[in-house]
Amino acid sequence: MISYTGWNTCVEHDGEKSTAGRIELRDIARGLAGALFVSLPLLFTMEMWQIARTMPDWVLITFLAITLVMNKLYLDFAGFRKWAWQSSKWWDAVVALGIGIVASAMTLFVTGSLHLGLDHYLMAKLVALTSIPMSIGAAVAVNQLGSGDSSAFEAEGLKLDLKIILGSLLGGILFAMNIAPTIEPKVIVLQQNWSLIGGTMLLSIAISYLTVSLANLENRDLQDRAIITSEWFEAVLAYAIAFLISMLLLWVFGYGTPLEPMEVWLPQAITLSYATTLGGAAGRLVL
Amino acid sequence: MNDSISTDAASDIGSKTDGDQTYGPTILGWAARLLSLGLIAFLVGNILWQISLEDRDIGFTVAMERDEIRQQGDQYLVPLKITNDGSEAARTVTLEIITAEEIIDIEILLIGQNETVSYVIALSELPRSIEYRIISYETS
Repeated sequence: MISYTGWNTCVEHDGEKSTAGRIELRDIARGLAGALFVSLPLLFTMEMWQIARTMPDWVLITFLAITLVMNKLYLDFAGFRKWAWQSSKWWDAVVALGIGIVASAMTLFVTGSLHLGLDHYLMAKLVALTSIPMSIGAAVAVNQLGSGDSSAFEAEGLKLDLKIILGSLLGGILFAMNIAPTIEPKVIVLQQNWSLIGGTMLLSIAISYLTVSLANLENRDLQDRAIITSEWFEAVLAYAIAFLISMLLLWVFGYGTPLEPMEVWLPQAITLSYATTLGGAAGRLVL
Repeated sequence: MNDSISTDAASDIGSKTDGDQTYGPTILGWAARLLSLGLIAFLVGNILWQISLEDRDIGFTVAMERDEIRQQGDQYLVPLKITNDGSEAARTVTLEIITAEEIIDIEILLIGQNETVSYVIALSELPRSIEYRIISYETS
């Protein structure tokens, strides 16, 4: 059954009344703002334009499908609606991707990266790739632009261990997405030797422990968990998740896969994992 | 005039979560949903259609924009349109542009499938025609 709310329907939340249409408009505007806040810098990098041209088609489509699922998860904890007055998170995930597409196309068009002389297939690939980080920005808009009240509410049903894993995953991807497409991790690796690479790995784990456990920014719930009951175990597990995310993103953006010699991909994955780990730590704190 | 949400209206509008009233989308919400679906389908459809086509080897078409040629000092500035006819992108493309009098090397950083880039070369004589030769390119 198709549900519908009239534009002028009065909706009340926390004693504040507004029309449904006005709230909807604000939500979508918030999504657009979140998309641009998070991902505009990425659209100004040449790597994104180049990777869009060289990325295999099936990789891009798979990445889009994964993004839709990731957006649903982000929406469970954040979203572009200040409060959950609409219940369908899957539809919101589709809209977040739509917002990402519109924000990307607008930005690429005004910056001259997208023009009518471009082949429609290249246009599609360019917009599809850039819409991925943009849509993630839309899906976490309330965390970027002021907190809403839906996230904590939705997260209550999840087991605490799962929350740790999800927080590391979602926060890590959000952070890493802004670095993985750039050439910089590869350039950084050229400046490192294996000692520095090892040091980066140890520093990442230490930062993971420091930001979440030692700094004690949030009340810890270790005793309530089933499996991840040690802070060091949490830090190492979070690093492992960050490493996997980094490896996957480097593969998606064409910088290296585990099928290549270890010297090619491992240092890059470790370098990128530094940023991913920090994002994961932020994700665990937010959740 | 605003009409407050009624119980009847709410019943077909949506489910309730944890005691909080939820509503269906407004006309803007539905437009956003449909537009988003349409845009995603367009992008994915376009890429899938491309996957279904036969692979083509990288090759280039070099076309001289005769109407756009202009003289500057003792040389002619000749605009070229270079198109990658292959089904994959080529990086660091080096082409040799050959006229009756001169040979000029040009380099293109990146050119995607079916992409056309504009290039201007300076020649001392007005060319009647041009030919080209691929020197090298990098593929992914």
